[in-house]
Amino acid sequence: LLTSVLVQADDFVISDVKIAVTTSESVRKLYESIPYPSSFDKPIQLTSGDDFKMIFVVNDKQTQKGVQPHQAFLTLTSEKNGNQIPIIIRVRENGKSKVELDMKSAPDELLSSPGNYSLDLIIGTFSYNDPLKYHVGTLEIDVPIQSSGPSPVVYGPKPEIHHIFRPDEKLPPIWLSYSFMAIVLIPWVFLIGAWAYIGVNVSLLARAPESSLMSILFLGSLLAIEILFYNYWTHLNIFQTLTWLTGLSIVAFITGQKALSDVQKWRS
Amino acid sequence: MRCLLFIFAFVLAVGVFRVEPRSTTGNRVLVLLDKEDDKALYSKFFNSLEEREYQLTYKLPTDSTVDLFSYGERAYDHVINFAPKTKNYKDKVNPLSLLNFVNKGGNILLGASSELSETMRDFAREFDIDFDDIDTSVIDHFNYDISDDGKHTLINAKGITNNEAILTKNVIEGPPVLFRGIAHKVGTIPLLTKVLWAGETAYSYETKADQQVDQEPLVVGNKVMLVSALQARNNARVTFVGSTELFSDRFFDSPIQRTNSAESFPKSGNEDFAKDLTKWTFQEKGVLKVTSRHHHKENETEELELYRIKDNIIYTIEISEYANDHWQAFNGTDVQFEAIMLDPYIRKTLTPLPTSPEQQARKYKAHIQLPDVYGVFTFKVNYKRSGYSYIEDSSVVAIRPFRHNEYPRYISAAYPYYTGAASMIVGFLLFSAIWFFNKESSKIVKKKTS
Repeated sequence: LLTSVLVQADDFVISDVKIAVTTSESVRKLYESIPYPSSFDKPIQLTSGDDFKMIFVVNDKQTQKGVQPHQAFLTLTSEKNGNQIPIIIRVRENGKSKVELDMKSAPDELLSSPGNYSLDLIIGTFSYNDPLKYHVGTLEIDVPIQSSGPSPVVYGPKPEIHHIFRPDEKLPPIWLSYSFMAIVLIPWVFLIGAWAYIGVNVSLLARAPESSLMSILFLGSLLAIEILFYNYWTHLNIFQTLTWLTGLSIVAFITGQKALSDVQKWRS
Repeated sequence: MRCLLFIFAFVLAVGVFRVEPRSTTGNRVLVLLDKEDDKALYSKFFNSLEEREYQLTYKLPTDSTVDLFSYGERAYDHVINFAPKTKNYKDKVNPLSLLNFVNKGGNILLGASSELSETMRDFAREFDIDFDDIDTSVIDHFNYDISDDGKHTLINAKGITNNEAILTKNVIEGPPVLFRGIAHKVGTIPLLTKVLWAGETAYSYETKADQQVDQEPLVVGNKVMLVSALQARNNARVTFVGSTELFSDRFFDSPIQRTNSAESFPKSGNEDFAKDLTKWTFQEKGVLKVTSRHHHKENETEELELYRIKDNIIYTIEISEYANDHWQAFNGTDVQFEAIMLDPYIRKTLTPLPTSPEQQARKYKAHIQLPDVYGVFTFKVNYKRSGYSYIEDSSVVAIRPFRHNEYPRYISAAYPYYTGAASMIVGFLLFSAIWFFNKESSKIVKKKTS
């Protein structure tokens, strides 16, 4: 088990790091020299049309001479989603390098997602054991947010859909119904009043039961028919109703005939 | 007589103790190799497959006797393709045949290397996987193993999926995986799942020492894919591994330690990773099936073909998962129910009911109120998640509108009419009673006309 503590000794050394940002009207917005190994602490703002340039020299630590590593990338890593955008750097024989990010011709990935990007310089090559990752600074990409077209489908739970039911038919307000109910019942006032005035009564009921038997039965059968109609309104069907009705109407007919002849006899 | 008895007992024993294949789709594997001697390189891997009761057949792709199909049916259930170098595949195993194999439900484990021929690169493109050019490798100057030969191509893979349908927790959290091979780029189709990828400092390029990277590489950083998995719509699985050496005995047994790091492991995670990967690819893991589904009105049990709008129904579905060699209750929590007529009208997440350990499927239930639109609806459970088999279970029902007597019976706007009719009835009966029994009082003077 190797437990030796390895000192992070880079094989490469960077020097003469300079960055510059020029706007589209060729106005120099930023020009700084960054002392390696510290990073540039202020965020570098880039809007559409700006041009970012960086130059540096990469030397072999041992020989202090310029070296051309296999991998020399300037990587922009989005702080939002970890997306990485590399820029390839061509290093000249003496180790001098120049890298440019022109917002006019930047990759679409960058132009469609504004935000903060971490700017890192990654240098590595074969057979060198200690590659270099140097955090240069932070880029603030300020471009208008573009809708990047249809986003790729990802399998996952979809949003729930709750069906919105059509609202019940709107009926007139209940107080309107109640007031018309009252209006419908008003004639009763007049009826009862008129009857009271002319002295209406049911005193003949007090007679001997036999003489008013048929009348009572007849009225009873009328009541029964009305109750049947109420039941038909609530739960019976036409066939059941007609069945009952045939029976009840025979009773009503017979008792009615008798009752009316009784009344005629009595009145004459 | 005794001989017959013996034969009978033998046949019985063989019949009773017949081994069930561990995979849900079969155990016949075709292994394609570049050359016969390669078999010895992966001896541990192949032996572990044979211990899991797979029948392996080793062939070269240039062999004219090998045929994926026999009388129109698949002759094998799975294919392991460790023959990236071969250019001339015979017709019966060429990319077109392999594609037909997948379309008929066969699974493929494809191993590639830096010497990947155009034949297999074209095959991978059918699945939205883009391998880099021949002679390129995955290079990472920051994450190579200490046993690397200076080219920094023997890397410790950093990014691993945390999808437990594909890899077990032990593998996800265990020692890193050794990889040496070719990179690929993954497309955006939802059928693909990234399984293993490189770190942020990796890139894919040729390894000639005296040149710089001067063209944009195919992939850089965490987009460098090392292992990807695809599950086709018919649930066939194809896994793409950029390094055949990942399965070699040497990598299985090798200790692993990243350069410039003190953390080291006596054995790499390759053997367990390969085991999980083959379990998933050969349909032993992450396989789902629906055992039954029911729908009925609340307080009833009969499954109707015709429901009414605004009916309250209960929908249940039972889903089973194959894990550890037997079917057991599935543990997903986001199974959704949809009621669809051209577009979904209702989408609701079903609640899983608790199960006892012996139960083979988990029941999911939902209380649904049917929409107030009538027509022919499909009750569908469309469960597609990365790593698990796709489930699309549908039943068709008709929903009818209200019958004439299912509308609200008494309407508040009709109260005046009800009272009017009642009032008439009462008035009639009262009047009849009075007519029979009224005794005129002496107050009213009978006007007698002469």
